[in-house]
Amino acid sequence: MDDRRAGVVRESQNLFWRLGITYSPLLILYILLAAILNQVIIQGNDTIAGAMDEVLMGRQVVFRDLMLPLCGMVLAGTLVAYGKSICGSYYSVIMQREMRGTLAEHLLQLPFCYLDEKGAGSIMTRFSSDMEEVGRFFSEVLPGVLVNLVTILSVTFYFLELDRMLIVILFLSYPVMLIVADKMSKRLAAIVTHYRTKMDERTQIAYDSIQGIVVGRSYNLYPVIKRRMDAAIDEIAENGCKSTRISSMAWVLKSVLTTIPVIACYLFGLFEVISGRITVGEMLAFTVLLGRIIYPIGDVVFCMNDIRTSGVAFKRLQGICELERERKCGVASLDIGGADTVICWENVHFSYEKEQEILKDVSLRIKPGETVAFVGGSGEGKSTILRLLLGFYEKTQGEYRLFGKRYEEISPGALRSCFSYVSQNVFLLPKSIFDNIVCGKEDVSMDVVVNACKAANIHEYIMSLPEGYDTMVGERGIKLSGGERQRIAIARALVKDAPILLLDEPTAAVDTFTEGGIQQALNNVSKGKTVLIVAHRLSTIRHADRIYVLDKGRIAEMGKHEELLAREGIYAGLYGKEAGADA
Amino acid sequence: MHKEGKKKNLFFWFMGLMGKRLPLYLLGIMASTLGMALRNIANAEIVETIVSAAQSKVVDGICMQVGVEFFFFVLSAFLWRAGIMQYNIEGKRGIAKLEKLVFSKAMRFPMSYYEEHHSGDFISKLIYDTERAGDIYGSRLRRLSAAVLSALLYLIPMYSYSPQLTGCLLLISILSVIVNSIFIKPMKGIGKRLAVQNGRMTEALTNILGGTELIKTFPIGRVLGMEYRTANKAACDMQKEGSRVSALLESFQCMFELLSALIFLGLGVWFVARKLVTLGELTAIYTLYGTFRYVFSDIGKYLPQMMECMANVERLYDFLQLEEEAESYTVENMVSTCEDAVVMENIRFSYSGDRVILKDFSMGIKSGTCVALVGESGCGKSTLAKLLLGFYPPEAGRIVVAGEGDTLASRRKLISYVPQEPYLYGVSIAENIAYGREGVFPEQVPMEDIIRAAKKANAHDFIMKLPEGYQTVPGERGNTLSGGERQRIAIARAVLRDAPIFLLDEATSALDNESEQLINQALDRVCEGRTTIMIAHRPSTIAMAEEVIVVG
Repeated sequence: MDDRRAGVVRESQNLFWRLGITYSPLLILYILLAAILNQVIIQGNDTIAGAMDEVLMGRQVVFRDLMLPLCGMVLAGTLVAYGKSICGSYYSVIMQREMRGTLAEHLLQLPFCYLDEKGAGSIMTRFSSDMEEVGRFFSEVLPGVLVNLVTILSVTFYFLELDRMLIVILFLSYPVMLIVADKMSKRLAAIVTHYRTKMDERTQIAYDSIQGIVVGRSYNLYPVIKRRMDAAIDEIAENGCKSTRISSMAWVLKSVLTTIPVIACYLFGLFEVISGRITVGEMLAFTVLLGRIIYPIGDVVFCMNDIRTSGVAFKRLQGICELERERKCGVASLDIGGADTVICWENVHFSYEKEQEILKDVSLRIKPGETVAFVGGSGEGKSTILRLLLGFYEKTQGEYRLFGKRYEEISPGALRSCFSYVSQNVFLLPKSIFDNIVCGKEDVSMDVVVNACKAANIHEYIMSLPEGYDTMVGERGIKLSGGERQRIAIARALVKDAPILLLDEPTAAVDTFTEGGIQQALNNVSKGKTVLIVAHRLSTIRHADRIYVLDKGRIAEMGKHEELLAREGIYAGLYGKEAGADA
Repeated sequence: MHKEGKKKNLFFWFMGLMGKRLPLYLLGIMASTLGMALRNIANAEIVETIVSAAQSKVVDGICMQVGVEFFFFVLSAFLWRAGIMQYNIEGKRGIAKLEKLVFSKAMRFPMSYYEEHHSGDFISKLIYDTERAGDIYGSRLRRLSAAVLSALLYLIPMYSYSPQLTGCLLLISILSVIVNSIFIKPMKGIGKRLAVQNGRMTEALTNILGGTELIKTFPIGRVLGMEYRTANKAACDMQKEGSRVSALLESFQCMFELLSALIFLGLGVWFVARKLVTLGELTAIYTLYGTFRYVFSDIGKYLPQMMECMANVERLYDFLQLEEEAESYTVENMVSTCEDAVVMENIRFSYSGDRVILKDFSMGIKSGTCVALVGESGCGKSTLAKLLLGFYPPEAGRIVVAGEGDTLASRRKLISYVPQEPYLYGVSIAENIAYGREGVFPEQVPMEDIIRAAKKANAHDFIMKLPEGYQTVPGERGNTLSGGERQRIAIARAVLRDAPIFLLDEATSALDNESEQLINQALDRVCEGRTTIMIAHRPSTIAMAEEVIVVG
């Protein structure tokens, strides 16, 4: 695996720490405001307790004296609560935005084959469900924990004033809670991990089914696909029930475990009152405070469940980050002028993971301006050569030079800017035809696009559409036939105008009437360019400067069309079959 | 008024999804609420017992009393848990049902839907909207009804301690809920717009995921990245707007919390001064009121939150109301009497009012013949195949396939279709091929049949060379398989289908000569005595046909 993707760099920096710290001022402000709010409320309750005591002592309470400070507290509390809430949720929202942004950026830099490792469904689930979970962590769990901690600390001081003994009782119950919470949360996390994997599966099936709708519809696959999906959904529900079983048990234990020390404290308080050490009023104030401290303590301990559950989501998002990026190093631009050899391969080998070798000992030397073709049976590695040239996959052995520079020294971006690639499966983005042809290149004039389309023999068709070049294509928008898509891909490659043209079956889906035109167009544009064609149809490459014949991953024959025919080898055999078939 | 009615119905519709299990779900909510309330009451009783003892300085039998109360406390905690499990399990079932409905719906639209809508839109509905809507089942409804129920439960002991004081406190709380209900509308609006933004974001993400090859070979990655960033920012802004509204809501909550404490103090002092309540009673009420206050402010908080999720329910409801593909396009039950296998008469067709692709097109294909459809690229050959498969209704004219019943599915059953771009599902090659056989589940198809079909399609040999053979799962883009290999698996699937009509849309275009010849030979064998329609541009394919029909 490593040898296949030798050119990638490892990114193990923890994204969440970095972002979490960058935006921590919001969180700190939140805690500060929460502490103030807490203080305001405690002050309020203190005032009440004081007043209560007064009442109990049979003294008169001047209500007007109380009103003013309390009204001030209400006003302050309202404002502080607004600020606190804003800080907390902005922190979460901004963190989500930054994480989504960083992850999306990361996706763009991943090596070609990353989706083989994590399916599209999995990535979409991570961006949606896991992100929601993480959002919940930042907006509820984390601030909750921190605020509870602050509360515990601040309230503890009041207790210290009251009686140290109470603190001792309260905190004795801590270890028990910790052990229980730890055990439960670990089990919960295991279930949640499984649950999330099932969600990935569900999204993947949905994505798969919608992409394959044509096959699904024409083969009446609805019952089969529905069953596949239902099974995944049911499993999610089942896992959800399991996690409920554990988390609800945790709540019960939390409630019981936090109540026992409370009762102990009350009884202790009672004992203190009976022995006359504190007043009933003090005990009441203490009642209020106890409520304010005991639940935070239970929450802090049992939020381990939430933290571990969110932890699963974090780990899954981090999993995207840990997918190794394509290396960025290497020269950023190539000097294409001087080199006398455009592409040079020496003894290149290639295999996908653990599989048998696709390419064995392939050597190529391609000079500027040459037109070179690769032929051979299906699955013999012709398209693989193009993928290696583009750096989609890494050769396992051998030497690859582009314009005289070693492959390892060129950045993938610079490497790919040398190629215009027309692949077998044309992917169109859900954008206008114009955008699809320009394909991100800056400052492309309409003239350039029109000329490319004329050359690719698609201009007239585009003009026949009601909205012309502004017609939307791709996922939503008009359906184009295979031939039309292919010609748009050719126009796209022409607009890119790179020194090397890679054509993988450029005329496969094109009928014979159009093929001639495209052939002509290709001849026109390939002037002064180096062209590599993978072809099934030998008729299309008859005029190539050199033809490589691939057999079982090796170059079995090479030469010009006539030379190869004269050899009466594999090529001649292939040619004979085609001539026979098309005759 | 009408809209109000819909809103109400929407809620009942949503709850109705649970069907017969709804009473069980509601029972669970009641049990958990009751359990929680009883637990809190037991807690308050314990406090009251001890404080009264402190006040009266009489401590006889207090341990026994507290012990009994604590026992009830634990008991009600377990009732609480039983209720939680009950409604959660039913809730999860409800969400599963909703997801199944959404998915089933997404599979049954007319084909034009898939062209007009981005797949990201549906995925977002399936994973985002159902999750949010499911929150209603999972927590929001429970919280709200728990709040209402326990508020009622708290009122009883509070009332028994002091009717006047409780009445005053209730009045204040009701006022706070009324004020909070002004947040319902904006919250719902935000919920809806947030869902739309989330859909956009998923679409942008889908483009990045689907366009890997383009991103690597063209400078489009920057553009797609920017589009995602824009969608991301818009979603974030929407979230921020939501935050501001809920912050306002929260500050109202806080204001009410403090105000109600203040009012409680005032009232308490006043009532105690007039000896209307004892201090013990006041303490007990205060303990209860502490929770009651929260519970009531919860109503004010959860009502708008639930309405936010109702926005997602509404989106799903609208989605589920969209029109599905018709069972059949013809009104009258047409039984074909002609001997032709396929008849098309005076077909006129255009994609949603665009350029007319087929105009007054007619053809008849005799049973058992091999026909090639030829014509320039874009002349409507592939469209003919889609019309034959019933993907679209023709604008005029009629299509009859011999032996079809009165549904589109019955017609499709008669056709083995090999599309231009072969699609392989993310399941094993064996299962992909087994999908060809209709009416049985893939695992019921004998392996021999699958292998036989693969051999006929000239796919067996290369499949056996794969490390995992027939159990290989083709990659996301089928990267490990070449175009020709994928095409041959698709052909094997069609071979296994064994339908009377073979429909091949440029099925051999991605194949090299050698496999093409083998496939053509295979087709020759398979097609014998079968009606075969080939959309073709290769002379070698056309040569196989007994008849050539020029389209366009």
